Formats: sequence, C-alpha cells, structure tokens
Amino acid sequence: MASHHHGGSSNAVAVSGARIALVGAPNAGKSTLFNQLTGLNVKTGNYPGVTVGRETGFFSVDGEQFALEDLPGAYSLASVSPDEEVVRQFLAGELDAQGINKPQAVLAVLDATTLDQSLSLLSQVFALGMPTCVVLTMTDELQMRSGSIDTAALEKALGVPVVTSLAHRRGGVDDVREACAHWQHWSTPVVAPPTDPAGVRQWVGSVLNTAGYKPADPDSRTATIDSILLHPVWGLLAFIGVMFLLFQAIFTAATPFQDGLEYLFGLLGDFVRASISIPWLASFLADAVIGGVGGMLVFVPQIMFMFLVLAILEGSGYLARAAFLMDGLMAKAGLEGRAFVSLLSSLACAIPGIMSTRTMSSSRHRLATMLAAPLMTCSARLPIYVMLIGMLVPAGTYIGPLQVQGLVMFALYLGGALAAMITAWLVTKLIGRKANMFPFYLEMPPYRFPTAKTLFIVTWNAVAAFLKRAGTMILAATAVMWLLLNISIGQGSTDGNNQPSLDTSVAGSIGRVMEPVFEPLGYNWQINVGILSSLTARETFVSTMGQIASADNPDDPAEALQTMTYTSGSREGEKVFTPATIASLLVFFMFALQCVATMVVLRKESGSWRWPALAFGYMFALAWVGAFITRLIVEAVTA
Amino acid sequence: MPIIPLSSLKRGDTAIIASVTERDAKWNRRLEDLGFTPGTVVTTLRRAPFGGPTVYRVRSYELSLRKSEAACIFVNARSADG
Repeated sequence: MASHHHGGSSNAVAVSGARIALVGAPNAGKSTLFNQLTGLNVKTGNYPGVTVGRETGFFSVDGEQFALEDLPGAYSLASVSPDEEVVRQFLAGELDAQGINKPQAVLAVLDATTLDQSLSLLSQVFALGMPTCVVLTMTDELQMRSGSIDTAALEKALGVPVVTSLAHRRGGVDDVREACAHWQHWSTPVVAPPTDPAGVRQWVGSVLNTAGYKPADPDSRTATIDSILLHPVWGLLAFIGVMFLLFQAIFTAATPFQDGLEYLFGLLGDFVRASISIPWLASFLADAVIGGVGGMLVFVPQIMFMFLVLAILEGSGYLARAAFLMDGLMAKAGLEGRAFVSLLSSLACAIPGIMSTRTMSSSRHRLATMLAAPLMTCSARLPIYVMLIGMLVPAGTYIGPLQVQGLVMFALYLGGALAAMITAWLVTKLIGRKANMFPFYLEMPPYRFPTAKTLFIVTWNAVAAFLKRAGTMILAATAVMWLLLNISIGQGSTDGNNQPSLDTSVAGSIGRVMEPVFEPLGYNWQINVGILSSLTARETFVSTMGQIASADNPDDPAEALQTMTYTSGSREGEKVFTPATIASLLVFFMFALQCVATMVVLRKESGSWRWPALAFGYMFALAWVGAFITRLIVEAVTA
Repeated sequence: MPIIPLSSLKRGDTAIIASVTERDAKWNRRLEDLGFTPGTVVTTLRRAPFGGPTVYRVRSYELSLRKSEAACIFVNARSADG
C-alpha cells in the first residue's frame, strides 16, 4: 500500500467504488466537470520524477467513494512529450510500482461542437480496452450554433454508454455521478476501432453518420469578439487594458486587505509579547511564528486576487488570445506567448508564476520560463526597494518633471524584466539541442462564461497550496533563523538578558564567516546577516536590519541604519550605508534568488534539485558581479 | 491547382491540405493529432502582430500555428467555395 499522504478518508488507496481516469481534449469542459463532481475534495501533487501536475478528486454516490484522476488535457494519447508519456504509463498501469494504481475505468469527455476532432481521441481510449463511459459536453452550444446529434444513436454506434452533461448548469453533473455508480456495467466497445490514421478517419465518419451529426456553424459571437480583441490595433489596446486590470487587482485592490492583515498580525504580536512572561518564548512566538508566518500571510490577498483574475481570463478564453498576441514578442526571447502571463504573474510572486507554466506544451519553454520567473520584481522585493531607495534619494528630488525615487524603482523593475528575458533566451539556447522538436500550437476556444464554482475552486486551491507552504516550510525556516539570531555561542546563553546580543549569536558568527564573500561589495557582517535572513522571505531583510541596527527603534530602521559605521577592516569608522553600498544592495536584491520558498517550488515543478541549485548559483553570480560593478561606478561618480 | 505552403495563404482563404513535410516522427504525429491531415479543409482566419502566429479553422475548431509550422503544411490553392 502507498504511504498515507493525507489524513481522513480522502486517500486514493481507500476508495470503495472505483478509480476512474478523466480523459479529454483541452477546452472540452473537463476541468469544469472535474470541479463540479469533486468540489474542494481534491489532492494535488506531481507524478514521480516529472514536471506533470497530478490532481485527484473524490466524490461519493450511494455511499460508495470514487477517486477521479484528472489527466492533463490531450488531443491524443500518443506519447509525444515526456508529459504525455506519464499519462500513457499511468493508463497502462506502469506506475503501479510507485504507488499510483492503474485506473479501473475511463470517463472520456467529448465536446459536442468539435466531435469530428475528439472522436479520434476516443478511438485511442477504446484501444486501452478499459470500461469506458462517454460524457458529451457543450450540447447546448451545439444546438445554439444550429448543429444537432442523436445521443441514443451515438451510444449505439460507439457501443459504450453516453451521458450528456452541462456542467455549468445546476444539477448538470447528476447524470455523470449516477453513471459512475454503475461503472461495472460500462462496456468496452464490441468492435474495436482501427488504429491507422486513414482507418480512424473512416471510423469517425461512420460514427458521426450513424449518430446523425450535424456540425455546429462557426461561432459568430466568438468571431465578432475576436475581430476586436485580436485586431492588430484595438486588440493590443484591449490587451494593455486587461493587463492593467490584472495589475490593479494585484497591487491596488488587494492593498486594503493586506494592510488589514498586517495590522491584525501586529496586534497579535503585541498581545503575545505582553501576555507571555517568559522572554524567549514570547520572542519566539511573536517574532518567529507570528512575524515570520504573518509576513507571508499578508501576501494571501494578492495571490487570491491574481488567481481569481487569471481564472476568469482562462475560463472565458481570453488567456489564449493574450498568449496569441504576445507570441511574436516572446518568441524573440526564445519563449512562447503563454510565458508572458507567467512572467507577469511573477510580478506578484514568482511562486504562482512558476506554477502557471503548467499549461505549456514544450518542456523546454516551460523550464526557460520557470528559470526566468524569479528575476521578475516580485512584491517581496518592494519593501527592500522602498527602504533602500528612501536612504539613497531624498524624497521630493526631481529631474525635470520626473520624481527620482520613482525613476529608480522603475529602473529596478526594468532591470529585472530584462534579466529575465535574457536568462530565458540563454536557457532555450543551452537546452535547445537536447529538447525534442515540438510544434507550437495554441487552441482558440470559443468565448464562454466561467462558472462561479470553478472560479472559487481554482482560487481556493491556489490559496490553500500557499497556506500549506507558509504553515510548514516558511514556519520552519523562520524558526531556524530565529534560533540562529538568538542562540549565543562563546559566552554562554543569554543570562536573563531580554535583548540577546547579535554580536555573540550564531547568526552573527555566520555573518562574519560570510565577510570574505561580501566585503568587496562593501557589506559588513550585519548586512550579511540580513542577506542570510532574507532567504526565508526577502522582506525579512528590512526587519532584520532594523533589529540589528537599533534595538530600540525597529519602526524606523532606515534612520538607524544611516548612522551605522564599519567596526573593523580597512573601512573602519566610515559610514556603511554610502550611496555606493545602497546602490550595490539594490542591484544585489534585483538579481539574487533570495527565496527558499521559490527554490522549493522550482524543485517541485521541475522534478529535481538540479534546477533550483543551478538557478541559485547563476542568479547569485549575476547579483554579485552586478552589485560589484555598481559599487565601482557609484564610488567613482560620488568620489 | 498549384500547391503552396499554408503560411502563404491569404487571410480568409480556404484550402485543402495536400501534404505535410516529414520532419520528425513526434512533430508530425502532433500536427496529425491536431487535425492537419491530407484532405482536411483549412481556413486562414487572422494573423497576430509582431510576426506572431496565425489562427486557422481546421475541422471544427480554431487553432493558431507559428509560421515555421505552417510553412511545412502544403495546401491546394483555390478560391473559397465552402
């Protein structure tokens, strides 16, 4: 038996009904059906060793529990890409050894408006020889576009049960649920269809003929909308408008919620500090647990809004149009259109950006996009930028009509984006030879209204995945950081001293060990500790520097830092935060992969530690060299 | 009826696929799965800006391909007659 991943009854191994695989072409309504059947009762993960996301949902009929395996949307079961190879292995039962059992039956989702296309997929499903049931979706759309089909005749022609489902309507999946209860009676087709291309076409033709299929007219509504949204001028303007809206959702609409959460965690921290009398425990709970995890939780509103807007764009069909419009530009960096959306999401946080690459068909494009994503300026860099720019440029400095603080911020965003594009270009060039040839294609589905339930489930799953991470990984990382900052070595423990001395802490020693690396950039050991702590979450740099510089003025770290001086070495007595140091720090944070959470996700999505390790090394080198050159230039200019 | 690459078909034109260049077994298999097989009717719908892909209607759905792919698909050029 496989290991127990999940508490409770929702374990893939423990179903009393059957394990059913959900197969269908992209845009056939597979996800909507999956969400309506299983709701929030979903377990996500990866297939072993590859970059393919795995979703298993659970539902019950007549007291029997069923596991539904949502396979990636496919036009064919032929294993062309490594991702499809996993699907093939799964359906053939070759993953049994890894604890992923072969499904007992197949639900094949077919879009009634593209039946001539999706029947060839079905012929391959039939070749598996498993009990199969066909779910026919979009029959209302077929009628609306003056097509028709005789479902009973289709059932006869295919030789397996056919149920229709309008998953977006209330009760639209009841028939499917009911059909699953009788899965033992699902048949394998009496006469297996041919497997050679010409034979398949003939079989498809005869099935459609028998079922009295009248194809749908081209969707006139979609054609009208596309004539505007894909127009070379109006389409690009609309695209800019939509992206602006996405930004607004991430940065403006989420802000009040973010401020509210920040305030609440502040109150909670104060309360804990005031009510717990054991100093180390109060400090651990308030600084490490509430401060650390709370610092991550304030990003929940941003992540929620971004996934909601992305789910609306995806469900409506616009995301494919956006990728279509951007493909020409992205191709110049060796990427594809869908990468634009991923890189844009990375402006909130690289984690959802990396996760959103799952829709890409080429593993080469996907890897290049994932490695480029951490260079986009994420929102965790903002607090650092705000603090450092505030120290570098006095507020209200103008060059002509342009405010200099804003100009520096813009340059940092631009620098990150440029580095991301160049990195992507490099990666595709380097792995281009080994990666398989793969045609680029992008289906343009008809415009449809996404259902509220699907939007809710997609958003919730993204937030839940993030919460799980904040509750485990980030908590562990902040706890370790707190220990390093608070455990003294050498002169015994903190003997009743409320303010453990950073000088003697483990973190302080590590900061000194790091000195040879960062000395050329002008960073003292205190800054090194800040850089180390920022690995848990970049914005921790700000609070750590505050803690370090001034125990009694943590609210205004910038002020306390301004007066800090080097205590040793060749620069002893000089101010630490000169323009050269600040500019070099800004460049360092622009490029460095200072985020353990991103590396963990990169590991999860790429299937090996090789890529996060490579990304960390590469971005560190980029950051160090960039910061060093910046320091030299600024020193020369300000000397 | 001259045989021309799909990529040189004008917007709004309809044609029947004559052949697909043999490039790579997997590459060809994927185009076949997508519906680009000899005898299939294709219509060019619209082009993306910045030298981007082109949307085609093939069988009953709409799909975009880059120029490099469309150049390997050959069609019988003739005027649209449904």
